[in-house]
Amino acid sequence: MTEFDLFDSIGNVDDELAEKAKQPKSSYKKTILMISSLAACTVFACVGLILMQSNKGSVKVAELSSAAAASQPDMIAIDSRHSSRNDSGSSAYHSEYSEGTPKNESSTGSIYAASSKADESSSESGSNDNNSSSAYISEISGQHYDSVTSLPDSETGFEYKSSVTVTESISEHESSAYAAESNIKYESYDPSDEPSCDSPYEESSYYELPEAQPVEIYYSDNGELKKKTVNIVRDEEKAYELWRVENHIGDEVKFLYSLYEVDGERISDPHFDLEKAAAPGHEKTLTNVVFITENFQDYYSRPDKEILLKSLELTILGACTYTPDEYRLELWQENKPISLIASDIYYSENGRIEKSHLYIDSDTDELFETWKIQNHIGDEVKFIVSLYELDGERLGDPHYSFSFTYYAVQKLEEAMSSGHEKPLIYTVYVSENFKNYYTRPDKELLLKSLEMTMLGACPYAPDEYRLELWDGTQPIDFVPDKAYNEEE
Amino acid sequence: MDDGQIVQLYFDRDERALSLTAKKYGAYCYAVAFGILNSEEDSKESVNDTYLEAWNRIPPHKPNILKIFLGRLTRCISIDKWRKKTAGKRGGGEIHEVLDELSECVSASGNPASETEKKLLDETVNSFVKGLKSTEQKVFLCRYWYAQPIKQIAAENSFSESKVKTMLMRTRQKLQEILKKEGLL
Repeated sequence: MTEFDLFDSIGNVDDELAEKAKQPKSSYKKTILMISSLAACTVFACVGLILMQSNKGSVKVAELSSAAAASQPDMIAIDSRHSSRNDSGSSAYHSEYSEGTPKNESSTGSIYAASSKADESSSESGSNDNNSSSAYISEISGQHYDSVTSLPDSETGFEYKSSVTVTESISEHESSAYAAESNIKYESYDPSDEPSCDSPYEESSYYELPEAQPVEIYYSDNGELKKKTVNIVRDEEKAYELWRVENHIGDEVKFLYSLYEVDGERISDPHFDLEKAAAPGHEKTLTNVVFITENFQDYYSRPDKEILLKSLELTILGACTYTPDEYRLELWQENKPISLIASDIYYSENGRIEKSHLYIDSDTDELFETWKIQNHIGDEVKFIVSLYELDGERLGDPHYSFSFTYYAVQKLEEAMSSGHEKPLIYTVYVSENFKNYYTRPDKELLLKSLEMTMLGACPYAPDEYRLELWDGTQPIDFVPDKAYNEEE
Repeated sequence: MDDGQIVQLYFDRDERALSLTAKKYGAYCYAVAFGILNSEEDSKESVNDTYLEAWNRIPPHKPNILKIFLGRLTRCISIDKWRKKTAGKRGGGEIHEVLDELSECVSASGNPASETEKKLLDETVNSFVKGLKSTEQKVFLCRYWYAQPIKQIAAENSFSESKVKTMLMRTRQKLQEILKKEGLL
């Protein structure tokens, strides 16, 4: 048998396995969504016209008083509940809105901005209107409104049209209020004059299109929370782009990622059954976490900041595939990896060692940086390198911070499985000025917490741990491993 | 148009099947081919050969998942093309590394497997992959089915490259043990 036979056999694994392994890449996703949204517009317009002949729609309009928002602190926590009904073509929405205190969730650049709770019926609030099968904008307080909005490609990355018609207003039939003195009014929607939305992309029906659904895009309009419903493929990133444009947020603020957490643990298993976790009656807390670039903070000086955050939250919740119990917005550095695996960072506090469970890059440099912050160590202390030493040989590629080579991994695996005579030593080098902190009364705890943090992230458990302080005058001695020599 | 309708066009010997396949899965097939051949021209050729092969095989074959069927054809055609092109040579490209890694699992002086051995090997590998944890399974197949670079696999899964390498090495070791148990080595 040769490697080609093995390669062929791997190629013959079940179709389902091969399909599972290949998740769509985000770059494809955007293109596909772009195409599909345009195609969906055509399909949707036709279906919408038919449906509108027989259905009466409803529009939910929430109005937030701008005065309520004016006194919010820099960071807020929003706790909201959504519910919906679809009786006589109307739907209802109510929420609770409360001030909270800022929370610095981690010291690695993520900023906790807002959280919410949505009950299990919240998804219905965004999707139960079969009469909303064409895009519309709702306006508050019974004003009749009719317009068509078209956003250019340059702003959204794709073009969409939303047609607007509100021809009938009804009295407020269900009251609920944000605790912060907001009030909500409801209007019904008569789609009889709904303009059609023509798409030139008839050929796109060749593609297997995800189904377009009504998604509500909330926005701040002169201190009032308004919304419009567009028919798009349900996707948080797409909804975010529409939200961004509606809220006059520049395209420098980017949607980075969204993920789910179950009971605070991020889902790293692609086959995890989120549907089950999100099902009504589930015991675990499902949280939707949305990462956008940290320059969103530049907009926090806007007087309608709270409404802006609320509108984002409502938009994202409405576009979620699975209805979460909670929502959290994190502002993140654009080029910083988003980890799905948590690391334990130990720190000295009040005479004992505490632990933080943080989602940071598992890179040792990043671990050290986070440990530094948690332990109030200044920026002047630098992480140099960490390396394994086995039988007097330092493993890894010295030109790349002793990162693992195949040879190194082989040696370590062998050592782990078959035992080794001399101890496996793990050495962490940090800059010599770390010594300045040795005068701290909690020095021992500090050193122990560093050891625990670094060892906790080690893929191979060493027999011995060493901390070396490096003054920078001499290169760190190494013996290049065999793999490195071969490459040379 | 969904896959079932496209497959039906093949059965009807309707040539639109080819253009629709190209529209829907052309990019995917190209990515599979490029992972192996690392050449634009050769990859395009491979993809065209894939369409022809699909035309010849359907009917009688009715693919379970059209996408994977096409990917598998592209993979076979590409690896054959690569072997012809690089016979007796060593060169760059991801597939060299992939095959080098796989060669760790087989005996150094192994002869090509017989038909019976191939069948047993297919079954063994399939059940082995099925038995892997989902993350290991994904990483293993991304590397050895799709010949993806380790860097890409790491990025797509939010892992460090060293973690992916370690994971792959452990999986290969497990596979080697299974192959030994089955008497294939």
